[in-house]
Amino acid sequence: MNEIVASITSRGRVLAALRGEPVDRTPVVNPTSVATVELMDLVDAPFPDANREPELMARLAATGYTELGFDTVMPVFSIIQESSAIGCKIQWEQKDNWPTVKMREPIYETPDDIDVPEDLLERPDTRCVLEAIRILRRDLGEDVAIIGKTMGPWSQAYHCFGVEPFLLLSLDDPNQTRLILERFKEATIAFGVAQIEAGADAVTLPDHATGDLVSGEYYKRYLQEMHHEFAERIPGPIILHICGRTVDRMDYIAQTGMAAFHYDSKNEPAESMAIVDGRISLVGNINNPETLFAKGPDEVKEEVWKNLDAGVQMVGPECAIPLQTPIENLRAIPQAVVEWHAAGGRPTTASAN
Amino acid sequence: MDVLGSNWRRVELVPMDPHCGDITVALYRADEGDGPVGLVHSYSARPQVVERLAFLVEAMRVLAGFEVVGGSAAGLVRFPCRTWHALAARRAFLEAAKLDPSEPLTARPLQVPDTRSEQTIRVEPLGGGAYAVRADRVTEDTPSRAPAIAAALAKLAELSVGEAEVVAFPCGHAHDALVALMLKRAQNLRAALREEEMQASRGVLVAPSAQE
Repeated sequence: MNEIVASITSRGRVLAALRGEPVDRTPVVNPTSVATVELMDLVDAPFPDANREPELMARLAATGYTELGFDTVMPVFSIIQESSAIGCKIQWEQKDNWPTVKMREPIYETPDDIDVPEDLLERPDTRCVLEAIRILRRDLGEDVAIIGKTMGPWSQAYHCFGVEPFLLLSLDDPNQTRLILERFKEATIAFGVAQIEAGADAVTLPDHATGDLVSGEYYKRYLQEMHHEFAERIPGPIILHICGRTVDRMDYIAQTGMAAFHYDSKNEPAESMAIVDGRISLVGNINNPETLFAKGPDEVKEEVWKNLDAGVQMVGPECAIPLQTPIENLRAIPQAVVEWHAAGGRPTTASAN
Repeated sequence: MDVLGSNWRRVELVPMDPHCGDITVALYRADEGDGPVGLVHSYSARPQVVERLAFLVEAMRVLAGFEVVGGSAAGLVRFPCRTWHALAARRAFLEAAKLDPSEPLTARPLQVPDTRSEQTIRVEPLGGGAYAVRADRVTEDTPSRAPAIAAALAKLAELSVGEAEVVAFPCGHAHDALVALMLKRAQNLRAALREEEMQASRGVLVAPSAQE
């Protein structure tokens, strides 16, 4: 940060960071879910209903701000809302597990099968998201940033064609692959635009060209240009989310014009910052399975400080947190940010709470 | 209800309690002036929660030998040795949560019929927090199961293992009820660990590319 500005609201802080402007302290941001089973009990908004009923979705999302102290709320906990609206078979699961698309029962085989319904935004599981955003804006006012989520075409293709068939197609037939991505593209844009219009301050755009299955060159070949188009056509900041080790594509991602990249703990903060070189903000990186889920607040703080030391613009979990994550670990993230800024840099020792 | 203060650390969690409307119940720990104390807790405000938490506290007292601090309504428990046995506390809580609350609570005996042989496994208190694991009906064809049970007990409750199948708590205090509670699980350590692993993996979102 070049300059410290006067204290601002959480929303102002997040929006400034997304624009690359100075902030009073690093915002704590969750581009993906921070819902836990304990928070579900706290506000009586359990899964799976909290994924399908707007009042419950909003109530659970608000706890990210009211109970955890994050600067954002993010009501789209799952990655299946559009897929459900399109007609994929969904395993809705119970309170303690994530709803998932039954990708072993794909609904499409060829690009010509793709039939994104004209009333996509009127279907219950997309409408639920839009209504939850309106509720959050009404109830939380302008104090907190609301982040929506619209799934990218690569993820949508996994859901509708199955992971293996789609990946094989991407090897065998680039033209058919591009056709599929093109046909899902408008759904990504329409849902993103609708969330901004409903009151979201930014949208997360997960597009699971993940480091384990897709190379950086693949990202460039199939997705970079389309992601640039998203940045131009969705009228709000976009936070791209791709899991896994992604340093091999961060240079391409940094050229898309998106506001931020939600990056995984498999990437070193300093290395990642060097690659993006100020062309896009970074957010995330706090490890989920090993740290937030299984360790304690002191270890969480260490990871936060490592990001702050590297100059990462926004900190938060690397992905949707496990539903059994301890609340004290999540609250340690904003605590660590405050301690780091109060100390003018890394505190000498982790506070023993 | 407020979120617990930052002095509390979660020890174990049951995400969906089948005996109480699928609420989430958890065991927390804090270090107080008089030593570590556990808190049986739920964030649910449903009316039946108070009774459910009181049952869990009582079950931990009867089954695992915890002391109840300030009455069962406070939800506080501690080990009589005033130290903290982390793994044993986790397992005691999980076992308590499995119990049918309509059944009477009774402490387990220090001997069990072995599930893999015709032997009976007995655990003898030796004093100073040490216990000898013994098996009867040992023959040339059916070697003693005691070494395996002793090793499993040690792994389940973080005990030290000495010679002749003697295991011991590092605190040097007796924990008869706790050992009796672990004895059943010690007969099939692999299943106990697998159950834990499966429980922990629920609720972890994986990328579509990693989903089955």
